[in-house]
Amino acid sequence: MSKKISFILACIVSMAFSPEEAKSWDPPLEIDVVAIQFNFEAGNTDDALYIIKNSSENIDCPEWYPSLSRNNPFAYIKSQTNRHFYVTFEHNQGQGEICSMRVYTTGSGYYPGLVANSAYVSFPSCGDNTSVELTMTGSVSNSVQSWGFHLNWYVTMINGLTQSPYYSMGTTGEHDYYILLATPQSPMGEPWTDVLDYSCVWAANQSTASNVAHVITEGIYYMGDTDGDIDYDWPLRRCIYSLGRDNRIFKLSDFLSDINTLDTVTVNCSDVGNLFNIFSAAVGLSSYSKRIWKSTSPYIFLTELVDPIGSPEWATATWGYHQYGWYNSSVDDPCLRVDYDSPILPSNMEQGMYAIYLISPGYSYNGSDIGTASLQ
Amino acid sequence: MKYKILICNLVFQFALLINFNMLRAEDESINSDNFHIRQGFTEWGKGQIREYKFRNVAENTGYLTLFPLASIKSKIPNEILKNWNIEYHIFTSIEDAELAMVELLDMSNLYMYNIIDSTLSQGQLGDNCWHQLSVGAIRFIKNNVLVTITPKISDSSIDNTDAESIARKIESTIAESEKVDKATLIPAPEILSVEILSDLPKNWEDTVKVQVNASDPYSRQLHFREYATGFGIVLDTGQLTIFLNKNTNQTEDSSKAKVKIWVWNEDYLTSSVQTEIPF
Repeated sequence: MSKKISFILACIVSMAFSPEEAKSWDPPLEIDVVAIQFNFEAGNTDDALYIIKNSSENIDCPEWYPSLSRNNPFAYIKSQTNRHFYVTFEHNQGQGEICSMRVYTTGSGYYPGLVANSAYVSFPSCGDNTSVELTMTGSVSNSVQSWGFHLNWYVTMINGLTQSPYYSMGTTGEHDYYILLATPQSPMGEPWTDVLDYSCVWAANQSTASNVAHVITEGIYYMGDTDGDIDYDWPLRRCIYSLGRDNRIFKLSDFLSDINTLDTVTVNCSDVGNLFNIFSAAVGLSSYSKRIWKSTSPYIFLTELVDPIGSPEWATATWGYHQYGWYNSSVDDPCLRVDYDSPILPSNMEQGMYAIYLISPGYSYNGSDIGTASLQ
Repeated sequence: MKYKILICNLVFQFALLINFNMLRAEDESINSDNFHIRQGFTEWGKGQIREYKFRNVAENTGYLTLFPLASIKSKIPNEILKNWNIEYHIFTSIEDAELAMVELLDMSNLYMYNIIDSTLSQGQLGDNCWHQLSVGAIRFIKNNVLVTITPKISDSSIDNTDAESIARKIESTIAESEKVDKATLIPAPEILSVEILSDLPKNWEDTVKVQVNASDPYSRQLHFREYATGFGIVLDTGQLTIFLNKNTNQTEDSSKAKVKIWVWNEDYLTSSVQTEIPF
């Protein structure tokens, strides 16, 4: 009996003190990252936001899923830290061969963090695949961006045995993602990537709301259709994409489709005011559109010289109302430039100042309202 | 004595002129029997809707079946015409032409003057007319046709007052054109049915998908648009997504919404259908 115990002890001691070394695998070892899901739980406390492509297309998850040729974008809010994501691994060693491993990443491009400190990954029942929640330790940029990155994946240990050299699982990506200024607002509570593709590019590198409002105002004013610019519906100034009792229902899908397919996209002030609301709300501004009008007949007010979006050029206008972007109790009007000693696109402009530069002396408005757009 | 006669004559003519203008004012502005009001649908403040005043026109003055474009081109020199957009729709009723005018006025921020209150230099134009000559824009209805005239470019080299003379030539050409005495003889699209494709709405501002089935007597391409919606939302199929707006779609029966849909062909012959959608 004592011999038996001595033998077992000897075995245990020899196992404990034997040098760790890589096991040779047959067939040759393959461990792969087969899927990555950046938005995997409700909310965005730890993970990416819920976003959609547009009114009819979702962003399928896992976002990165090469076997389905899927590589969808995702979104974070600026300065968020330690984003969690859900990664699926597979290996070719069959049942019972690999029970755990440790992984880490390096990165290239504008990554929001890296899997550091050899994160532990368990294969349940020592099976051949597993999905685990990992953390990209680090911080999301503190400004709005539309960025991408690659991750290089390494296995440092398998079944407790150090891999030397570390086993490379290859590279994933490019993982394209948007960084928003703040939580998206209505009517973009579920932001459309078709909108973020504009907003985040216009607002790239901006970290304050007023700057974001300014560059989105500029972005819309200089926005292009297939011939390079969208034009004011001159001289009729009809609502082209806006409708509803207060001109705040906006046919966003039709507008986005048209600017990518037509060279004659026209808009009026309601359309453009709604666009400011929608494109700024998508990146997190609590914005509105504002309408001003004269409430007694004749409902007319005459403008000073204005330079409307696209063509035509500088002219005075006779309006029955006007609609423009409104954020932080200030005017952001992507519909026109006013003559502010030199041409200026009204942005973060105080209402009284705006009225002075916009409305011809002797004319005035006495009605106004603000509201957010609804999408159709 | 000669001067006395002359002065008397002038006074008499002046009196006649005043009297004539007073009569005209009484005839057209004071006597509301000559006018009717159509409501807009956009709200300006809580419940405030703009109103549009139309001269009453008899429905039986004849219907145009084709816009006389060739005749108009022969009357207006090309060097003038080339600078102007002439848009038109031929409706199957005067009511539809007036509703289309309301739609255009209410969903634009271009302010246009009603000719009833702001006459043009040469007097009445069309049956009803709105104008904004500062940008060369005139819209008028003559019989069952709604015509819009605007300059092609905003260029000071264009004389915006040409709009009025062009409009008057178009009006006279329409007046001279052959007409039919029954709206049913207009070769406009025939709207066969409207099918609701989606679930029934529950509230105002819900959306409903409908399929408008229509045909054209000469198989011309058809275009579809919901009344009082953005002018860019024109479909070549009859499948429309209707957004229920209380101001435009309300009926006396609160269990239903009414929806008006325009259908027109390549010759801008325009029919409409008003369908009810139950909640």
